[in-house]
Amino acid sequence: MTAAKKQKTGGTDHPLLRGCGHIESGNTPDWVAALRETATESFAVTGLPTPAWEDWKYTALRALDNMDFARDTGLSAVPYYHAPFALPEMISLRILGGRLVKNATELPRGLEIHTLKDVWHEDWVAHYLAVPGNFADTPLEALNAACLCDGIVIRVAAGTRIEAPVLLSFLHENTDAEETQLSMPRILIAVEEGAALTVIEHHTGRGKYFTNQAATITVHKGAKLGHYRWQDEDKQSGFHITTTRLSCFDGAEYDGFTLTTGAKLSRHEIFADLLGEEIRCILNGAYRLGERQHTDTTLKTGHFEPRSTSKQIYKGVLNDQARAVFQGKIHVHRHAQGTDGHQLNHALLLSGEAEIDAKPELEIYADDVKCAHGATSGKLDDQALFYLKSRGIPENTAKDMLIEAFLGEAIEAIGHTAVRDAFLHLQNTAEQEAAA
Amino acid sequence: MLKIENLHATVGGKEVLKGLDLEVPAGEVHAMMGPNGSGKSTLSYVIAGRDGYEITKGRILFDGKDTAEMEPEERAAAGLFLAFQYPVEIPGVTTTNFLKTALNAVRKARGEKELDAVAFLKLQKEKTAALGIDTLMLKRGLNVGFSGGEKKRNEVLQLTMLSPKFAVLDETDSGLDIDALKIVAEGVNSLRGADRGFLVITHYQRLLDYIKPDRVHVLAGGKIVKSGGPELALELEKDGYGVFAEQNGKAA
Ligand SMILES: Nc1ncnc2c1ncn2[C@@H]1O[C@H](COP(=O)(O)OP(=O)(O)O)[C@@H](O)[C@H]1O
Ligand SMILES: [Mg+2]
Repeated sequence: MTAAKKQKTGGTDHPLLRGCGHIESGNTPDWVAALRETATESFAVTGLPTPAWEDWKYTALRALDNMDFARDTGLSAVPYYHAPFALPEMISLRILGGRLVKNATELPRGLEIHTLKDVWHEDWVAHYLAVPGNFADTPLEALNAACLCDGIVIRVAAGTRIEAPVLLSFLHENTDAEETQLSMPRILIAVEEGAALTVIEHHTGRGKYFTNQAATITVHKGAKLGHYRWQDEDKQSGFHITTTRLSCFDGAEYDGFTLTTGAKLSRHEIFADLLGEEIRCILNGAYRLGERQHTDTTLKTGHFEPRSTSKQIYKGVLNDQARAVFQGKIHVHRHAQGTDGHQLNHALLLSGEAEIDAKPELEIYADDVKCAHGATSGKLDDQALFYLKSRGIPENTAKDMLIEAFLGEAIEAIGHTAVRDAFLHLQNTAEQEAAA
Repeated sequence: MLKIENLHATVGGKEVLKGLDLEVPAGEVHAMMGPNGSGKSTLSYVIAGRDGYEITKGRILFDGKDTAEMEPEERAAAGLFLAFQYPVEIPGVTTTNFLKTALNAVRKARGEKELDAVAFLKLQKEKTAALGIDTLMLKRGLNVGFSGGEKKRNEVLQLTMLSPKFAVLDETDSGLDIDALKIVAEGVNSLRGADRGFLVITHYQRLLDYIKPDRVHVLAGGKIVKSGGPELALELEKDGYGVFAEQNGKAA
């Protein structure tokens, strides 16, 4: 980034860097120290992105400018929390303040789940995380790295298919304090050759907090990962940003879905690199927002090798003054013949003040490809609404049924049957809460 | 039961109904016939309270009460039902879910106890079987991928499930073969009774062989131009709407 983008809040004294607080030194591996240093320097130059940045044109982080921050120590108990659903054999883990809460759950053979600190001296962890990345275009990722002190590491050994889904519940409780709590979860998921895993993330909480997550996900040859997220943060005062770096190799399958109902402001930015042949990479999602909520989905899919399929299909419903941003880019590199890429955003606007900004983009350098992209926005179907009402169904129920049906079509695409049903049910209950 | 007085109504800025009078007492079935574009569907939508169909003069009384200020769902709760000429497709809402929500909404509004899942399914099974509807259809999106005939049967299923006091059937016979027509007519006839009324809109007299009307009205140019007994339908069948076409054309 050029110096022009440096802003007054930049520098190593940035409130967000200060808010991270003291990073305990001592027994940290060299790569961690180096990464923090590079990231800190980078963030000091860029500061937070502003709408002057092309990728941040529609999402302003101004609200973060005038806040005081304190690191979420993860000590506050969250007694009210219940997992949103129970799936057979589900392994349920809590993350407080970006740290995994240890529990005694016995894991199936071939599945490892660690708190990062316990394994960051190991070579394979460094192999995934010690990438001397260039943070210039991803200041939030830089911020996460600058504050790196722990995280969650999940690995499935080659050839192992884990049936039990893993639920990661990221919890926040900060209803009294003046400061906005900062938490910087760092996640690593590695599904080795021919292995399979299902991971569900539930992000929720109450009060003032800012979750800035960074995830590194690798799906090796012939491996499968189902990765389903429910971003259900505090609607009034929760901020949530996730930057995901996904790498897939030959024959890998990544089935991703993000359901967004929470946060005052959220952004999910995914860099998906399809580095092998015949990969199937699904990045789908649904969002339902009201009041002044804002969500941003920014997807960058790169097809590097022949015959891979990628799909990014989002459906969203916006009420009141809610706003959604959908930016998607499929980049088909010269080698990637036979690519099949599909990108769509369908939005329903329930109020005249709701807004959707959709920017689908294709950049194609191979000649034998099948790519489609598009964006639509519309209102609830008047005819359908009248039909339901004419049968005695009250207007609000009728609207909910239509919204549920609309979003349900996106959720239906989830590859894991039990998770799909659970997510369908989730959006129903989320609606009932919204109506109440 | 249903009383319409000097009804003038516009749709899309166009006056379609131009002084229509009609009374259907409880216990009777009236047929409404008329050329295309004469305003039959418009009348059905005005009765059901669809947005955009505006009454500019006159009124519609249901059980003595002016319906002007009632929302469509309130009319349904009060016992009005419209079987649509073109039933709407709603992907993602299954017929079962739709029927259950509708039935319980109506029951609740009428101060009756809502049906639990077991009682509902039992009722649905019974009514579905009577109409020869494949139960697999109930699990699909409402009317999505249904044939014309299946859509019409589905309308009659809703009718028999909700058992309203007064039903308007808008060309429920179109698109039905003779067997389906008989089944549909049976469904309607099973509901006939001293405290129920029907307005059966049709283009052809065929349906009236199976649902015997007490009165027949001819709508042309937004008005009732002729009323009579069941024999009027037979006359129309023989002579066509030719004589009324001029009135219709003039009005249109
Ligand atoms: N939404 C609309 N906007 C304008 N004109 C309409 C609309 N709907 C119906 N019409 C007109 O009203 C007249 C009556 O239509 P309709 O009630 O559907 O007739 P019918 O059911 O008797 O065939 C027709 O001339 C039709 O073109
Ligand atoms: Mg019609």
